[in-house]
Amino acid sequence: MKVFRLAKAELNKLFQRPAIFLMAGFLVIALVLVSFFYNPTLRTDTRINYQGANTTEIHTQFQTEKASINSELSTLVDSINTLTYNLNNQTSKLSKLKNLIANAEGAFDNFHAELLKDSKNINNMRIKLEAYKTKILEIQTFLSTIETDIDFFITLSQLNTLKTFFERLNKDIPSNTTNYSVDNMIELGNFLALNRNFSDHVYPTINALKEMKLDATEVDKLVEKYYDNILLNDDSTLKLYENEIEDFYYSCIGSNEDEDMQVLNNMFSNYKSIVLMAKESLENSFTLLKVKDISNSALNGHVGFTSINKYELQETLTKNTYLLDNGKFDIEYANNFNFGSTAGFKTSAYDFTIFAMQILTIIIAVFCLFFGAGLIAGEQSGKTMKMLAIRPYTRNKIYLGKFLACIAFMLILLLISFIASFVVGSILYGLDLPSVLLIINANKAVVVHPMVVMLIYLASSILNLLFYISLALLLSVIFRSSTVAVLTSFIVYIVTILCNILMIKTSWFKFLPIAHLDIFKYFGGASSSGGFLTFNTIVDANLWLSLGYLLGIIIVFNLASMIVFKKRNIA
Amino acid sequence: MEKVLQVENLTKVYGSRTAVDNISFSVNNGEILGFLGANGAGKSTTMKMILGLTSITSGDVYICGKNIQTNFESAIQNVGGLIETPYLYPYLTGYGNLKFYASLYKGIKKSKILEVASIVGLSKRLSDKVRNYSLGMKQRLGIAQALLHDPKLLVLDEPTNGLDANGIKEIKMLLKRLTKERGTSILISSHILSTMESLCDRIAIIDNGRLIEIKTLNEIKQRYAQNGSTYVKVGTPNFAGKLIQEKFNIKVGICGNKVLFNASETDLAKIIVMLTQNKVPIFSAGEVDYSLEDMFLNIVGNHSNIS
Ligand SMILES: Nc1ncnc2c1ncn2[C@@H]1O[C@H](COP(=O)(O)OP(=O)(O)O)[C@@H](O)[C@H]1O
Ligand SMILES: [Mg+2]
Repeated sequence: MKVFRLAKAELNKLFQRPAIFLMAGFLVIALVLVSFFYNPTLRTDTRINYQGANTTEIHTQFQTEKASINSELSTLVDSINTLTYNLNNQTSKLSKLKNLIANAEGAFDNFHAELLKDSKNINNMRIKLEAYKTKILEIQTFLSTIETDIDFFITLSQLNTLKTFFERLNKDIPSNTTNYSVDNMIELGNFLALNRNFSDHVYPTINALKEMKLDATEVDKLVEKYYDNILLNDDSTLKLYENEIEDFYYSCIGSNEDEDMQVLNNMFSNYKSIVLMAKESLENSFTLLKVKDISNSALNGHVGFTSINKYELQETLTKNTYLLDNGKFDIEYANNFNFGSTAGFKTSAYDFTIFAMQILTIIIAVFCLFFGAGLIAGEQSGKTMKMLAIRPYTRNKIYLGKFLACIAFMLILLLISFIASFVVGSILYGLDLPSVLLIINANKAVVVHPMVVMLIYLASSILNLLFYISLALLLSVIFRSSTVAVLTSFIVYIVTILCNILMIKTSWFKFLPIAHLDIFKYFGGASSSGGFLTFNTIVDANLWLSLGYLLGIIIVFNLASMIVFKKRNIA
Repeated sequence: MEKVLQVENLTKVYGSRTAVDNISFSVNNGEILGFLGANGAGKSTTMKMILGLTSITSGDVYICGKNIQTNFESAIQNVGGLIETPYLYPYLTGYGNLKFYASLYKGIKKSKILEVASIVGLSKRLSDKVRNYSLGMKQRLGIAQALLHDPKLLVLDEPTNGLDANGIKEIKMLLKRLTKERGTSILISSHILSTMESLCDRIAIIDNGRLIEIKTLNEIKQRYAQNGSTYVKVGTPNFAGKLIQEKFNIKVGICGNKVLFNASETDLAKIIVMLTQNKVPIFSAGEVDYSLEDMFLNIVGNHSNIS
């Protein structure tokens, strides 16, 4: 209770600081600028639009397209099955690579044996050497295919090691040995045996390679789930929808009414989106199955997986599964949940608000740091802390009171900015937006009112700012200088943004607190806009991990501040 | 009766140096205790420990019977403090400053704020920003904020620092009125000794972190008279002291440039002649008045200089 009394008094004092006007001015100017310059990219409408004279013509076009999409799909299923078969029958690419290498080694042994024979025959030597060179070339050719097509785990550096070795080896073996004497041959053979042997240069790399494990029954399940059940079976989603389309088509064969053609077009679009969603789901779930034992950041170094983000794959998968299960094939439905700099098919107050808040939050952050540091370091250097510390408040209470005042200050600013942005947004773009499909933590799909997304965004900003405020308070308790505290916190703020862009692929990035400052990214769809406080890429983390990490750090920072503040004399 | 402030064996060590060395004293109800000592003597450090601003190396402080270390909130509730110059919020008005501190306590009404403002004579300037206050006004506002919660004890560290004679007189009158009308006890420190005269009931003299003496003004005067009521101020006090002691067989005290002793006016004349013959430069000589300054120097001098 006492803490609240102090917090209230502190807050009162805060709002009387002259800098408040400066801040209010900045916020207003920022909001005005955002209103002028907000120009979101609208999502492109990828719906099919057949141009035909009547429904029959449209239907014919559809039949052609249908055949091509379906064959694309069966190709995908075939390749999945082939890969699974190969991996389970030791005919995988890794086995093939190992075979080629064993063959080449055998060829070299033949050549070397020829050199050691009592009766030295230069011609036989040449033949054996050529055979060896051929094997090397085969390996090189094979290695060059690995860049695009892969069914085992090899990092770029491992691949380069192999490539470099075989390239050099190939150069070391002359293509033309007509002017070689027997002694020359023996010299070459000894050099190769000594300096280009496989046990030193090839096997360490080859043995470190990891086979991709694929459980055939799991793969079958995936195919059944995303191919058979949705597309193939007689009672599959697609077949049922196909029947619906045909029924409708027969009711209006040859019609050239705009309305009929429009309905048919939409149905075809939906048909296509079912197929595409199923295909995407099958691909995603298959990839996830392949890489399930390897962490996302580790995958980043692997050939063929450099651009894979498991979290995003899972998120899309959850989204598609939800849409398919609930019969929401309408592309508009699946695309209406974009906010910020990219809007859905049309801009609304919600897009505007999120975008504006991203900018206003920076100003709020700066001022929260400034005022927060002022509350402690400012009062230490200005020595008003002396007058405060001789009140009936323990040091802990003083710290908590000030921390609470900071939080309240931030909440008030965020709320005011939020309401102001929303009002401006409503005036400029209106409130017309259907409900939003939100994918939480990549594994839960829910349909919510867009206001819920706003509130989640707000909560995420609050947590984010809490981190910086706690940091600024800790620094100001330690250094007793507002300037140091504000500058350092602001530098951390900027560094966070940079690191989230630049370091995302570093394996230890996830251990840094700054990788976990933004929880909004765990609310899929909503965050796909990108922004200043929002970092989309998620590496080896999840909502609960980040939330726990963030809250933990906030608590630790404040406990540390309290301990230091309590120990420190007030000079 | 319970002491308002009880300090027991208080010690503060900074690294290797002892700033406050085993000080014990107490302040009675309604008493003004003066804390006297040169710069760096340890007055502020003692007061900061009393107010809980600085950690205590050893010893105890009780305010109205409550231990400041173990029972901080109840102990500090009874104290109003002002350490060195008052540090106020320059961007707030005088009223704003008082209101901030008032809001930290339960049930301090607006009328109370106006009352303390009128006690210190700031009623007319309350709505001005503190950044525009003179030093004297700030000092008075500093005292006003210390009075808001009707504390039983006021701890004022050099409250007259930087004030002109008029300002000092005003503050002294104000403090006297406070004790008289409200029975507030006051612990006040200063290195300007005249501050203490006609204000303090008792005076504690502190030097080098140690409490040398704590007496009423009268007791100190008496003690001082024993040491000598006549002085000569000379260029070589130790040499002069020795000469006087040898030639006239009287006890002397040396304090700064002054040699102190008891002697009649005729003897003093003889002494001056003798010193002149011995080529001792004499600056002045005469009866010592009972100013606190002289007494203080005398006591500290006795303590530190005389063998
Ligand atoms: N924070 C500190 N660290 C180290 N020494 C200090 C500190 N504060 C005061 N001192 C030393 O303690 C002694 C007493 O200082 P102080 O109590 O301020 O004296 P006064 O108030 O009587 O002038 C001085 O010698 C001073 O140098
Ligand atoms: Mg001092």
